[in-house]
Amino acid sequence: MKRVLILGGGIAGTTAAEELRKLEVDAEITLVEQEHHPLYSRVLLPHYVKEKIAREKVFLKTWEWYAQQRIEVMSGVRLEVIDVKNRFVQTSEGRELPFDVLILAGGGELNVIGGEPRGVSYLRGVDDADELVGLIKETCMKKGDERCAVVIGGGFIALEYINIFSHFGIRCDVVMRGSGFWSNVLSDCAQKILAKKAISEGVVLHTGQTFEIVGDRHAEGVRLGNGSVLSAAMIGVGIGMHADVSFYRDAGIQIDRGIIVNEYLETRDADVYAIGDGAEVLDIHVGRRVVYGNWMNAQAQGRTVAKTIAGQRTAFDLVSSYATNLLGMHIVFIGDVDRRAADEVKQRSTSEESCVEEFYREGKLVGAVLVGDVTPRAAITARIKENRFEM
Amino acid sequence: MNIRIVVDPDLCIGAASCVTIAPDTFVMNTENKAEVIDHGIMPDAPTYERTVEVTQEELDNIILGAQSCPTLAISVFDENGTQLYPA
Repeated sequence: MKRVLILGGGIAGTTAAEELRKLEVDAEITLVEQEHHPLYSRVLLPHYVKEKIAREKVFLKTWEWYAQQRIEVMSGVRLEVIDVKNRFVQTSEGRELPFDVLILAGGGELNVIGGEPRGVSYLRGVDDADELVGLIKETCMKKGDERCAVVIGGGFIALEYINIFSHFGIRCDVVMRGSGFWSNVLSDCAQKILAKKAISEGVVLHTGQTFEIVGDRHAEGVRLGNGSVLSAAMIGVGIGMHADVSFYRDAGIQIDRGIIVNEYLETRDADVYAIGDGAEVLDIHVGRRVVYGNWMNAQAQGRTVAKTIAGQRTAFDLVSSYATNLLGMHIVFIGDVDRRAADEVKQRSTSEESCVEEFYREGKLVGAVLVGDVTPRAAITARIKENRFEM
Repeated sequence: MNIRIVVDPDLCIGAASCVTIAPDTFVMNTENKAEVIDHGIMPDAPTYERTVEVTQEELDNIILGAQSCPTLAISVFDENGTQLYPA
């Protein structure tokens, strides 16, 4: 009986387990997960915080489901040791688990400021969302100028905080180290459109700023590099993710920005795979290895790896995309949008509130960002999907 | 068989995973929300819900598309109004 051990019970790991069970009735599947919850949708967390859905709707699986699928779940457990050569892992509970196949689906690690007082919020999981709900209630009870928050960051999570605070009528300052939203990705043109939108909705932007959180037991505000202090009843932090490089490197697993895998999601070690936000996958449509941190990508990789493990070796084949919005203005990222890896970035403004940025490598379109009007999305996705690179 | 497919535009965030998996059934509109079409064709006005006739294979793929939605914005019902997804 094949023993399949999956590290990480998020959408990537759970999908891999579910699909593998369909394909291999007899496989012994064990899922090791740090959190204490069954699978939930991180994408639904802002909906829950904004009271658009009840908390229980966030959960996509029940514990009974895992039992029915004969997937053993070890929740609240971390891996301490991965021994690829001798085919076992050791858990934080001191247990040694042997495996024939190992799937690394542990996701990325949230970047944190560190040493924060209460009132500083991150939005990684459902526990964070619960805490955020409480902090928002406290903030909404404050009057006048005290009903205010600061957002730190200029990426996807920062946008969620801006949208959430706006939803509750909480005045909001945004502090960014870079020159604007996604300063490593977007051109001035797109950044200006987004900044204009935020400002028109009453959001105050502070770009190119270092910062320091003020407050001992409870956050009181943020001190900027220029010395000014922004007062805040709460602070939402969204400053990105990183791969837990050292843990995997110590295990002898090949790492760069994530766990390195080929287009079949295979590491260089036989029967060891990596999927999801922590994997650096050779993307056949963009011609290089990319770390994509989004739901659709993680889920699709879970499906793909299950096929390969079941003997139907399958290359991962998806033009990755991610959609969000800033106060109702649509933003879509498609494919590889790393500016540093592009040979050329073409930008065109399609209207005063809309623009398209196209990322090219070796003369091929490999990625795009759409702001405002996102209707070119399908055509751009189709163009990227046609790409074939010599690798 | 006939099935009814319903998208909740209030939940839809425009991830477009349904379009990726079931492009004959879902299409993104100018609001970046998924709309329901019938075998690649929009026979009448754009709509967030539609009854379509499908084979079992097509139904399986539509369910897969609905399952891929990170916000559970898509519901699928059979001819008797029984909800097939989310189950």
